[in-house]
Amino acid sequence: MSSDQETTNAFVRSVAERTYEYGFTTTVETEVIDRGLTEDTVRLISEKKGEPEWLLDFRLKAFRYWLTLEQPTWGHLKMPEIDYQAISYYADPTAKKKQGPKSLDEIDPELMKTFDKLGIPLEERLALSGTAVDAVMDSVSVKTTFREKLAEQGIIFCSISEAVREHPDLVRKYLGSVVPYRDNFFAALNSAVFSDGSFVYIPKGVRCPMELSTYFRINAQGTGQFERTLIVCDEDAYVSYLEGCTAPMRDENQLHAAIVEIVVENRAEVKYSTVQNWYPGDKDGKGGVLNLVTKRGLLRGVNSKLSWTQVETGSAITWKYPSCVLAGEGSQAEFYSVAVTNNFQQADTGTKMIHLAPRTSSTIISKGISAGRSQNSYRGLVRVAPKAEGARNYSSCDSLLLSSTCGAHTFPYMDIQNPTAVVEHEATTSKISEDQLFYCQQRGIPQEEAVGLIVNGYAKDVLNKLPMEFAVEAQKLLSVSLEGTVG
Amino acid sequence: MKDISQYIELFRTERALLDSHSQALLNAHRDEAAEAFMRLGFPSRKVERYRYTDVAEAFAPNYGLKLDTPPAAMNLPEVAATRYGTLANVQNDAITALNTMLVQDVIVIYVPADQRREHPVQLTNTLRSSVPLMQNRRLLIIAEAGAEVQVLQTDKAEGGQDFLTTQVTEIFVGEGAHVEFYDMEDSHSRCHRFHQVYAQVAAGGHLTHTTFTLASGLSRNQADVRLVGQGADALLLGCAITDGQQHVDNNTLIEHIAPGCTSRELYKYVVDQQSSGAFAGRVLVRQEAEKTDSIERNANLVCTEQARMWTQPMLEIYADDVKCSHGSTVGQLNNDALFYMRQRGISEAEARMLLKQAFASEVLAAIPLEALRQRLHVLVEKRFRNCEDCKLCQKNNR
Repeated sequence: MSSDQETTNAFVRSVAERTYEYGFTTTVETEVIDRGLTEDTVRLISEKKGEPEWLLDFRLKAFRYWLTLEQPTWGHLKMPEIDYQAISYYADPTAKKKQGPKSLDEIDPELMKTFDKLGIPLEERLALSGTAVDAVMDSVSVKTTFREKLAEQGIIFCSISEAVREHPDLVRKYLGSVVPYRDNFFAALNSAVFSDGSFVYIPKGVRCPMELSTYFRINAQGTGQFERTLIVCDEDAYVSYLEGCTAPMRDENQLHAAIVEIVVENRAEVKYSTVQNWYPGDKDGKGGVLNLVTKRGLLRGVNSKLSWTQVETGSAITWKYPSCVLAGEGSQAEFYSVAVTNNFQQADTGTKMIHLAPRTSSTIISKGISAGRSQNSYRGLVRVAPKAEGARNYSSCDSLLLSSTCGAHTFPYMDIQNPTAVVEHEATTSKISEDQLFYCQQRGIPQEEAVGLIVNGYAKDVLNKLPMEFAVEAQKLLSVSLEGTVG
Repeated sequence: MKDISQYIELFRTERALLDSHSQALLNAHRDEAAEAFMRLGFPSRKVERYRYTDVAEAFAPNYGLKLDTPPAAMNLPEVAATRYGTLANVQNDAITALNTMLVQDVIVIYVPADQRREHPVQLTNTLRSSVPLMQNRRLLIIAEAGAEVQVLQTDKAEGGQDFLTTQVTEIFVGEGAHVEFYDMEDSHSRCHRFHQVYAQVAAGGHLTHTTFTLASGLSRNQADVRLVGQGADALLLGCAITDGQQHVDNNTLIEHIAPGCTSRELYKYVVDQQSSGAFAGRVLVRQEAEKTDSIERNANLVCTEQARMWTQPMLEIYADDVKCSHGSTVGQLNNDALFYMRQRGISEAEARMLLKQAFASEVLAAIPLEALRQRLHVLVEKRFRNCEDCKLCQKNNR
């Protein structure tokens, strides 16, 4: 056996023996507002964040609209009933300091430790070179690194609360322009109570020199996280954005209802990558995060480009469809996804590609891996509007089944209204090939490692699209998530 | 719930007349069906299986119902009583409930164990009326173990009257039995048809179910096939050629319940002018159905900017040792092929027609019944040429 392979084996083994390693909690003085959701809660959140009048109005409109809605039930999910009055909508671990921390010395050392433990050092000299991080714990952004350096080029990278204060015109112009508060139940909820998230603005013609990254962490008990991210990439600009997330192990379900909006102008390009590693619940399906998010990109500009890459390994329930609205002529969208479910996890995830303009093209590559007693669904929509001359879509959805008690489902929707459109969809579902397993075992690779290798090979199409550091993390996660699925 | 009242009222006032002209078996199921129909109402577009067709609108006009049919000719065999309505569950589907509530007669095709029919059975339905007419049909096909039968149903309409047809077909394929059911619709633009097919295939049995929609106004065909015995096998074929304001919606569900079953599905659409087509095919593999082998394919040609196509192939899999795939494409005619033909002196219209025909012929080629295959080739060409009395049609039409 080559040394290369040995390293891989040792690596796979080391990670296979681990369980959810981010399940610790941090003891830090956190200000949590009372549970429950009323108009006063919305006002309180807005007041705590010192928001201008227009934003409060936006929140209230969303809240009143939310009251008229019912939680959707169309997903292929068995959703535990969510009591929206039993959740606290705002938790601030930095509240001890009057103003938000300005320098590292002011940040609670406990918080620093937490992020260090998660592998996200907040000290710039320790950070992985080439990545700027916005670290968000519960409802508040703790620290954004490399801000000054980025500002030299006119790039704005900060928490959305700061953006509201410092760049109100930009925020007001774009907030809700991609995902309006009327979009769906969870979008309305988020618009009413969103707390923190990242704001990115790349000015015209600037190629962002480093990867921008936001790390979300839920810590406080009985709270939900409602983050809001807004990325605006102006003409001819480029940015690569990463998102990571973890939560402590708790017996109760925690709600995470986020909105991500991306605006891509003429000839600009955005790469958005997520490694989602929320706590998936224990092996009996108890606890875990309910990940109910709305992510959408608007390709406004001519020849603009947006690429979503996601690795979904966590969450008890995932309900997520990162989508692209191709409104600029010649715009291109891509969606690469690996979704792994184990134990009692349920995922209903996919994408929507809405082709509005001529000569737009989109690619969908989705790989589902189900194990244990989990249910994994791909649900996607490709719509070609009458004006989208020469639109092109290619979709491929593969599912891999690792146990006889799990489920893998594909629900692709296609709605074609233009005769020049070419749309293709393919899907396959199968289990790991006995031949491949046998071949590996014959060569002395234990079964569990062999499965890990095959799964990583299967997901390679997508993992290759991730930035390097992320790809390594994703590979590790894949193996951890599948631990104990063989036999 | 939109306007089920005219049907409920009709049922209440004409109940006695309906009963007196029908078999006791049919009458026995009416009450349950009426109750279910009232509860369900017409499915709105929010009901997943009906999202592509506006049912309430199709049922809104006031159609006549021919009530003074001759009394039932003969007593139904006992086997019909034990099977009637067992697959077509009125509780889940409004159209099935409506049909069961108002149905006047049932055609039963029964093939005893190990019997083979040499020649196919052909049922021809011709609609002719001086007033807008509604018709509720029922077909029951039972093939006992080892039996073989081919059934061909053709739908035609004469005169320019409005017609609304509902049909419920139940097919029982016994162990090792072989049933081929061909459903061909070639009516006109004022005919609306809702056809619900429910089939069950026992161990080692085979079912071929084909749906051809040539001319029609609105056609909605739903097929639910349950593979309940080991090694059962189903082949579903469909082809729709639409133009004008036509709307064709095929909705299939193949349920793999027993292990080792096979299913194949191929649907093709050529959608022209302002017409619309919809295909939703769901393959559901239950946890016990290991070694399932399923392939589903849907290909569509959208010919104009006004034409619209929805397609939705779905896989829902709860077993692990399976081989399932589905594919779906929407596109247009190949420009290179068009150019090649034009270069060789074939007119553009003719070249287009040839390419469309070639596209549809993949489905035709899969039809096991030779005579029908040849006939369909002619009919499909005729449909594409869209002419009543060209030389070609006269030559082939005898």
